[in-house]
Formats: sequence, C-alpha cells, structure tokens
Amino acid sequence: MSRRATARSLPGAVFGYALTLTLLVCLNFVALHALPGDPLTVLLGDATLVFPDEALRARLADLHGLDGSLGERFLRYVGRLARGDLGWSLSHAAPVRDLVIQMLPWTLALVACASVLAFVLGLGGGVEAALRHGSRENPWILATLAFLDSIPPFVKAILILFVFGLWLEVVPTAGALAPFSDTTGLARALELAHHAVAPVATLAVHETSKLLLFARGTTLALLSRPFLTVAVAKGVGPWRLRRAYLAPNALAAVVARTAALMSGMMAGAVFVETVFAYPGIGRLAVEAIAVRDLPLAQGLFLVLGAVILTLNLVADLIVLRLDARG
Amino acid sequence: MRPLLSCFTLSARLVVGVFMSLLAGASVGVADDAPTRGTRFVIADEVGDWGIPSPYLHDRRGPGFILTSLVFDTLIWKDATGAFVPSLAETWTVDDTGATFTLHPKARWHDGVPVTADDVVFTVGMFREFPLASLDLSRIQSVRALDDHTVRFEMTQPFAPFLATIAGVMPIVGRHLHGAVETPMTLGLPQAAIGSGPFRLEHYDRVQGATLFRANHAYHRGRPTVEEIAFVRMTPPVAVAGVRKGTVDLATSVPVRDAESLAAAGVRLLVHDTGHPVRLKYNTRHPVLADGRVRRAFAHFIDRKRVIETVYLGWAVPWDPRGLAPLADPARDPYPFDPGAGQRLLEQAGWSRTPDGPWIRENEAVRLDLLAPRAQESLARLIGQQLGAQGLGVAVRLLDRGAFDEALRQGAYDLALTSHGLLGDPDVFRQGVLGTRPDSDRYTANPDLVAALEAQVTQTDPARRQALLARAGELYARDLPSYVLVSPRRAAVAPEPFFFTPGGVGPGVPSVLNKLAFLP
Repeated sequence: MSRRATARSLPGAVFGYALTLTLLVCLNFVALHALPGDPLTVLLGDATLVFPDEALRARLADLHGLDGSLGERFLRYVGRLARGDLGWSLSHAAPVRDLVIQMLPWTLALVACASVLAFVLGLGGGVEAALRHGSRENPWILATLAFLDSIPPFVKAILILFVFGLWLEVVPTAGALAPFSDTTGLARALELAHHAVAPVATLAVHETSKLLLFARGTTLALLSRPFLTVAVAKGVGPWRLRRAYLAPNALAAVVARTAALMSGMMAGAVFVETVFAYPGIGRLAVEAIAVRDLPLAQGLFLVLGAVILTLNLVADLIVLRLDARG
Repeated sequence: MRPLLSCFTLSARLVVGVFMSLLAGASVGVADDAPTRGTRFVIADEVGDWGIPSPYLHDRRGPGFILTSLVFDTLIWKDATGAFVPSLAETWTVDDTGATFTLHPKARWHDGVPVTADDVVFTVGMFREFPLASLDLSRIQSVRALDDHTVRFEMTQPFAPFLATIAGVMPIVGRHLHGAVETPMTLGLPQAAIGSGPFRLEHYDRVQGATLFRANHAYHRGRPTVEEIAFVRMTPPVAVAGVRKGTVDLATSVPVRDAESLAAAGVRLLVHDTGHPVRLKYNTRHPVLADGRVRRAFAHFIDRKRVIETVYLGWAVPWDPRGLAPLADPARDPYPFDPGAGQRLLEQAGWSRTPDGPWIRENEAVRLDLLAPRAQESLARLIGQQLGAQGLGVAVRLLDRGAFDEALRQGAYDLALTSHGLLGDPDVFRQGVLGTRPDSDRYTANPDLVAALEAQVTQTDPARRQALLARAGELYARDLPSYVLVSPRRAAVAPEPFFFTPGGVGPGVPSVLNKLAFLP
C-alpha cells in the first residue's frame, strides 16, 4: 500500500519538476535580461584605449551572439540549450559549459559534505537536546545554539581560517589542493579531504545549529505523543528510545528541512569559497551578475536551479516514502 | 531503522560520487614533462585565475594582460624608467607617416618556428577582423613586410600614441598557429598559448586559480633568471603569512594594515600609486550642473585631506584636477577645501541660502542624487556628508557595476563617483573627456578643449604635445566636467630587482609585475 501511494505520487512530482524546470529556463532568460546593464560593457568597460563606435559594437555583438532582438536571442538561447550548449562567457572567454563542469562539482561537494555532517549532527544533537529539556544544562545548550546561529557564515569562515589555518596551522588555508599537485589515487583523495576540512566545517557549523534547533523542537513535540509515553512506561531503554522511536519519527521532518536549507547553503558557499580561496561557482556567479556576463549567469543559475530542484524532488520522494512507512 | 540507514546511504553515495568526479581533476597540463620545484618563483594573487594567457582568452582586466605578456612578446616594451626598450623588435624608427621595426633575428616561437615580419602583418589583420576592445587599430592605414625581419606600419595621419598604444601592447601571434582556425577565440591549448615570450605556459588550472610558467631557455633576449613562475590564488592574510614564512616570493597586493609590519620585518615593499583616481562626475546636461560655477563650488566643498585620512587610512594621494598626475604642489591646487569660496560661486550663480538652511535655486531647495558603485560606498557617503554639511541635499544611491554603467550611459544621474586608469599614454586623457565609455565625460561643450585634446594625438613632437596637454588640462580644470579627487595607493611585496613601471606596464596596468625583472 505504501509503495503504491509513493508510486501514485511519483508522476505528479515528476510533472511538477518538469514544469518548474521549463519555467526556470524562461525566467532565467527574462529575469537576467531585465537587469539594467549592457553585456557589451563587459567587453568595453575595462578598455581604456578605444572609442567603441557603433561599427565596433556591432561587430563585437555579432561575434558574441549579443545581436538581434530579445525574442531572437531567446530562440537562440533555447536552441543552444537543446544542443547542450550553454553559450560563451564574455568575461572568462571560455564556453560556459566548461566553466560549469569545472566549478560546479566543487560547490556540490562542499554543500553535500556539509549537509550530511549538519544532518547527522543536527538530528542526533536535536534528539539529545530535547531529552535534556528542563535540565540544568538546557539554558546553556539553547544559548550556545543561538550564539552559533547568530554568527554570519563569513565571520565563522574568517575565525576558522585564522585560528585553525594561520595560528594552529592544522588545516590548509587556500584551495582544494596544493598548487600544481600531482598526487593520484588515495593520496589525492586524502589531500582533497584535508583541504576540505575547514570549508566543510565552516558551512556545516552554520547549518548544524539551525537543524539542531529544528530537530529539538520536532523531538519535543514527539515526546508528548501517547506512543512515547507508553514506550517509556513499558521501560524501553534510553538507547532504544533514541534509535527506534525518536530519530526515525523526527527523520522525515529533518530531511525536508535539510533540503530546504540547501539553497541557503549555496549562498553560504560564496563566503566560504572566498575566504578559503576554494574553487566553486559561488564567486563565479556573483561576478557574472556584477559584470553582466549574461551567458555565464544564465548557465550557472540554470544548472544550479536544476540541481536544487532535483535535490528537492529526491527529498520529497524520500519524505513520501518515510511518511508512507509511518 | 531502515529509512534512517537508507537516507544516510543515499547521502554518502552522493558525497562519494561528487568526490570521485573531483578526483579526476580538471586542470590542463600543457607541456609534456612534469614541473620541477627547485627554482620556483611563487606569486600570490587574490584572484589567481585571470584566464588562459593568450590574446583572446585572458581576462580583460589588467593582470590578464600581464600574465599574457610573459608568454607573448610585443614589438617593444617598457623598462624600469618607463622608456621603451627592444622586445621582439631589435630596432625601430618612427616618422610622421608611420614606423618601421626590425625584428630580432633569433626570435622564435615556443615551437621553434622563427618569428617573421609576416607574423606581425598577420597579427594586425587578425585583430582587425576579430577586434579586441582594448586595441584601437583604426589609424593604421597599412602594414607590410619589407623582408623577413622588417615590417612597416603606415598611418592614416601622424599618431603620437602609436608606440604606447599599439607597438607596446599588441601581442604578436604566429600565423602558423592562430591562422589555422576559423576564429582565433576558439583556438584551444596548447596552440593558443604558444608565443615568443620569455616563458612558456606549463600548466593552467582554472579551478584552483593557478598558472605555472616555465622559462623559455631559447628566448632571444637571454635565459630567464627563474626556472618557473607559479601564479597562485591566495587570500591576502594567507599571502602575508606566506611572505613571512618565505613560501611566497611576490604578493601583488597586501592589506594596508600589514604593510607597516612587513616593512618593519625587513620585507621589501613596493608602494605605488594605482593611477586609478576616483572622480566626482557631474552630469553637465543637468540644468543645475550645467553651470561651471556650480561645479567649481562643489569642488571647494570637498575636503580631500579628510577623504584620504578617513576612507583610505592615508593610502591615497590627491589628484591634480588638471588631469593626468597626482597633485605635486598643494599650493597649485585650483580647488582647495574652501567652503567660503564655494558659497561665493553659488551666490554668483544666483543661488541663495538662509543660515543653516538648504541652498535655494529658482525658489526650490536643491536636491541631487549621487550614484556610486557599491565598492565606493564609504567614499560616496563621506562625499554626500561633506556636500550635505554645506547645505546641499545629496542622496547617495549605490548600484552594482552593470546597473551603474547603464545609469551613466543613459545620463540618469546628477553626480556620480567613477574611476578609470590614467596611466599609459597621455591620450587616456582624451579618452576620458571625449570617449564614449559609460564613465567618460563625453564633454564637448568647450571647443578649445576639444581642439587641444584632438591636436595632441597627431603632434609627434614631445614638447609640443606636452604643451597641448597642459593647455587641455587648464581648460579641463576650469570647466570641470569631473572633479578628479584622489588616487588610492597600493603596496606589493616584491624582491629585488622588481620595480614599479612608471606609467604602468603595457597599456598602463598598475602592477609591479614587469617581465623584464625576470630577464638577465
């Protein structure tokens, strides 16, 4: 029955996904073109030694696919997308697809690792914090969480950089690998992991406090439910209470909350990437908007939007499945 | 329990999957042999990735050009005094109709093919067909090879900036490489980065923001003094820590707060003016600001000394409102901070003011918008406050760069804070006044000023050209379409024999990275 319920919901979820993706393609084009600013300024803006007359502007627009009406450009954009071509970055002089392929995995890895860490710590910590509700340490737990939650991500990143990177020198301070590293296999994996410690920890700490507070609230609500009162009265042990009663029942809500935090984590990744000189699309996206590199901004936001939509679809399906299991 | 486990498993698979894709790496190795580490010169830079060092592929901002100049030679280059010295060209002569260059007979492309005059002819043709916005070739009438090593440029008319804006900045490319593709923008590595410069591109890693150059032992001006240059992305605190530990040889920019302690520790600092002064641009088409007396009055209301102390913590210099250089003599400042002089000018313009009230023009209190890019927020707020203290209603509006440029282009502003480089050839003055860039003044109201600026372009006698520029500067400071305020200073860590090139490297890039410092 539960599998059938999930199966029934699947076509609707997939249809909604496809519809949202189509809207994203259109909005992505329209919204970015609605921004004030001329993409050709990217090419001409930093040139100090030229008078860009109309002929030169027209030639550059033609070379970079910026000519024609908005409608013509939209049709070209959709046509290119259909061929898997995301366009040509004006500021980076490179295919947008190459830039996305090179940069996106780093941001995804950063956000995924931090999400998993925050999910585990948030769920586990939230259950423990809820069980200490009314205890002497409860105010301290809440105060600590509120304090951690109030520190902006870039401040956390700078603190971690200075304390663990520059002062204690226990984590690398820049990049995802040592410059021009030629390590392979396991050594490369370890080097990657070592360089990821500080950025992942920064992002995870920021999200953990949010998830922990959320999981604590969810667990407190559960604790007042009759089935838990009965379980406690029947003498269910503390470990079994956590493992078999509290965590599984709080899981669906925490999974949904983690998925909802993903877009915020993408924004937090911008600061983390900047402070730790870590590769990723965060900085790329901010610069693309600032200099009106529309092909790059369109490509980045489209792919990023599709990734977030996909993750939300997956989370929805997981929640459906978990709810169906009760 | 199973849902919990499956959720963790899914997450773990996601993480492992993404990491596996990263393990494959995304950087581009160019040369066959692996880099050695013994004689590596490490340069720390906050951005790191300035694109592939190739004429069409590098980032359009200054450092992209600098890195490209390591791989691609121009005909001539600037030395530590700012004078032109041989590069690809061994000798040259300039006359009223053009210039003739004789190439160094031993110049070779990195693939061993000799550099010829035909490559220069091809380069000019390529940049004409596929223009770069930073290179104006419109005054070249023709270019032809006189023999294998001699090339002649004919100009449509005498063109004083020729050496500085074409011969000294146009990277020469090989016909056999760039001519082999339909559009040079699509030429990939390694061909796109085969030049004739003192370094070969060894490794370009866009992801890590790192570029590795290896010495070209066959370079026609001698073997470079370092074997490798590693240009690496680092945040300023990390770069400073690297300098202190000796793992970084050169940092392109260090924070002001660290400069003094680094100097005290015996680190060699090169402090230089960026040559990018910030200017208060008036919308001279605005009825209120069309009157030159009003523009001059506003200039008297601005306390530049306080601006430098407050916004730049002392790391800026006042700029001469006449145009091209820092203010050498404060006594010659045409607009010292003098609110009384400003008030008199406004009264002459028919404005009136009650004590402590706002300025009134045509029975209305004057209210103006001051536009600024977000990066200039502190300066904009201080200027707004200083003008406000003199009875002018000024609202500060901060925009991102795209929106800011568009507002300038459309003239949708009253006052604006703009900035562009004034290093390089003095013709940048003309660009700034008459040019069509968003931040140009586009000021043609004074025919004498226009005539002086146009005349200096064709005046090949240096003394006469300088006189024309001085005349234009006086007219500009009197009309004041923009009030050039201050130019920030920058500190870089650089060992001997690095230097700051007067007038900037190439087209006027304010950097201590001049490739001559790597040559014997």
